[in-house]
Amino acid sequence: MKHSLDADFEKSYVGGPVIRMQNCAALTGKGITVLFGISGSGKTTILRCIAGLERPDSGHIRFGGEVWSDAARNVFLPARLRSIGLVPQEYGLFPHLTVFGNVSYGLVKMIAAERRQRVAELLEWLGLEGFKNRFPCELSGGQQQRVALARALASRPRLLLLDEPLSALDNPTRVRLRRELRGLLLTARIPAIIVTHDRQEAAALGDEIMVMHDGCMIQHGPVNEVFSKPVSHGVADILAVETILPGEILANNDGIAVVRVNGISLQALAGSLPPMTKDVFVCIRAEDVSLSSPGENAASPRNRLSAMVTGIVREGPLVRIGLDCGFSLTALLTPQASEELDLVDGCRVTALIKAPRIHLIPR
Amino acid sequence: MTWNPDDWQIVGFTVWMAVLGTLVILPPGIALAWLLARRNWCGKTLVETTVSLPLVMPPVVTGLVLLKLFGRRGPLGRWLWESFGIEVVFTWKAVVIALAVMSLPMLVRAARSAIEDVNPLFEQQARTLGAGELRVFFTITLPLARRGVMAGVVLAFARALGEFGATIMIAGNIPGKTTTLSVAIYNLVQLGQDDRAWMFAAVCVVLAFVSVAASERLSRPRKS
Amino acid sequence: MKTFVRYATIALCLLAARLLAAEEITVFAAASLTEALTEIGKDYEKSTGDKMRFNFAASNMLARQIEAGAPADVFFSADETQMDGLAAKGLIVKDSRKAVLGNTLVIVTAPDGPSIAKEEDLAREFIRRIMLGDPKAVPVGVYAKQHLEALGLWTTLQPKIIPAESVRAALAGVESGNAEAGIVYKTDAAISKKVKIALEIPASKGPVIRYPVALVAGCGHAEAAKKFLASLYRNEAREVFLRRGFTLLTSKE
Repeated sequence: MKHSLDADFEKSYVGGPVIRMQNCAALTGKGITVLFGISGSGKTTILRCIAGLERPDSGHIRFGGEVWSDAARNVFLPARLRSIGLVPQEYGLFPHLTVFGNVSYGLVKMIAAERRQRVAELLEWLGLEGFKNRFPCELSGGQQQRVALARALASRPRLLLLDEPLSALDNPTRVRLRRELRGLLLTARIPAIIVTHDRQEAAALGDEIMVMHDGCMIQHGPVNEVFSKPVSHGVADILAVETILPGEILANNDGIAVVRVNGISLQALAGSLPPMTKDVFVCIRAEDVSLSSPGENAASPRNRLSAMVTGIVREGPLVRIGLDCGFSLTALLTPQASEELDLVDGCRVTALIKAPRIHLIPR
Repeated sequence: MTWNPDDWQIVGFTVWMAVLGTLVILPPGIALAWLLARRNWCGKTLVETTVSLPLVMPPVVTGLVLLKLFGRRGPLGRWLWESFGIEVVFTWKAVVIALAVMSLPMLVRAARSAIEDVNPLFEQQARTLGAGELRVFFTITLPLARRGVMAGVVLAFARALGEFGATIMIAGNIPGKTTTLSVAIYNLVQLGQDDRAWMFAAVCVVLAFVSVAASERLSRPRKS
Repeated sequence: MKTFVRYATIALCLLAARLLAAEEITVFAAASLTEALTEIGKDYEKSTGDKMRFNFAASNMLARQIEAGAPADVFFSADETQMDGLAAKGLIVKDSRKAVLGNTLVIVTAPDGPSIAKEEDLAREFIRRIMLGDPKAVPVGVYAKQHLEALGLWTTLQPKIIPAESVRAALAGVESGNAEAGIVYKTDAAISKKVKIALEIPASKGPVIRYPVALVAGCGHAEAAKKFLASLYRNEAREVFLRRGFTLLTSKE
């Protein structure tokens, strides 16, 4: 397919781990794929291999039917022939060139008038009119990021690669640009691979997600699916699912499983668990935990647990509540909700969790 | 103790030879610096060491080697004479060669350092934007390494101005033809004309001072 | 055993006495005297036990060094001018000065080089470079310039002249093939196998060459140096000079 990336390669450095990307046939559309994992999991290496800045030790990389690298046949297409746009972590703007110089760098094949026009187009689209003659050191972080993006998009690449595009920005800018970036990328209609270690960024930006751990890709699929159904403890951990606890399946009826965690029984969907599974990890995201005043019974969630508040922490626009209901649980609420329930340390509440929101992983 | 027109000739000749010598080593020197900074290859250590030798060896030894190479009966000298009728030893060409060889290591070392200081990520970024190696070098590497390279050029020039040992070996000391400032001073001392020797020495000091000051200024990081 | 120890001690004492009494004489001499004086010096050391130290270089360079305070005991110059210079500054012992040797100028070329019948041939095309000692101060060069000027050839030949630091440097230039011809002393041409004498300039036609020798004023080993000077006029030394190609000046000259 025109925009499909078919990659299966390995790359290692002396004294370092082996970075592996297996059987990845991603980007079957013009969407955004997120390469997700903690620092050091090999994401940047993979990006650099796809960009053509590193040569894989074995395996192949093909894009849109073109062979970019094939170790077995000693084929390697250098970066400059791959028609990609790279936005590296610190933006890599050329300090000795103006914004115009930076953005037009890849446009040598155009005549001067065309080049000027294209740059003007891009700068306008990204809200950077009037910045043409500024130098990178005179720009703010957000502006630099947009210039880097403009530069990457200028020559209409076939694939965009972004390495931690928002990590160098302060929090408010990051949150604001998160939405903008996705919009920009989709409008540009160029497939993109974004590397990030930020869960929220991954959730906000990506259509597809590939989770990396220890140099290997351990799960990939649509974002929502992967987030709600991590395939292993490791993935769940990386995705920062807040509650992961060992449990035992007591019964499995009609796809609804009864799991015991620390003496408490919960109902969850058995889902795709292999039959006869007994030992599992129980995963509950804080977003999926609702709270109500103790004693209220009329609500649909099957799991109603009596809990005591152990801690209340403000987290951005939300509030994170630590709970003890026989096991440790976290809930994420709005500040108003928290106020309405009069939550203080030590007070009792009822935690409600819908059965389908509890995810089970075989142990 | 007056300064006469012949004396100006010596100063002018020395400066002009130093300029020529520096120009001659500029392309190969920077190319070599880039190769040493950005590439690894078989025999790299050997090349590195050989290039640095004139810095450490006694200049007369370098001069001796050049004499053997470019003398009438030497491999290069004979080839140049037989194929092109060009004589090197005892001419201004020998002066240029001596200056070039002695100041090459200064240029290569400074330029290499400057190029190594350029973040390779910029060069890689340029490659993703479609630039070939030459374009990356001239539009990214060199401009970003500009100050260090310039400092190296000035230092090489200063070294060339003061060169003596190798010069006197292969260019001799022919008045009006190959006499440089330092050779003139040596000569004057041998003739017992110390006063005039001091005059020339003063000129040398001034030239050296200006060159080194310029080099220091250039290699200081720009205040942002 | 006791006798052995006794004799050994006496021998050692004599040796020590001899060593302690042995002086070191420093001679600054013209480059052209290198082989002759080295030979004479070795013989002298053997016979007297004094140590000889030689510094061979162009006479003008040596004179500069003595002026600057170099620790020479004897100065053996290749021309009177350099000696005069030192005398004018009171740096030599006037009474000890004597002109000892003469020499002959020759034109040398490479063994397979062109033949030169007369000095005018030097102006011909096949001679592109002529090496001389620096005609401004090195004695052999000064002599050569004198001679060429006397023949009216100096201005014509000047563009071809390559000045060298000493007579040996001039010789080396011709040996290496970097110059087609050179003017050196006959004594120098004799020691080199890589040049041939193309033309000898007889004493009658050439410049007057005189090698004066003198004690350096205020030198450290005056007595020993005086002894050495005296030995230069004796037969053993004179025989060496003659053999090497120098001419001996009579004591009146």
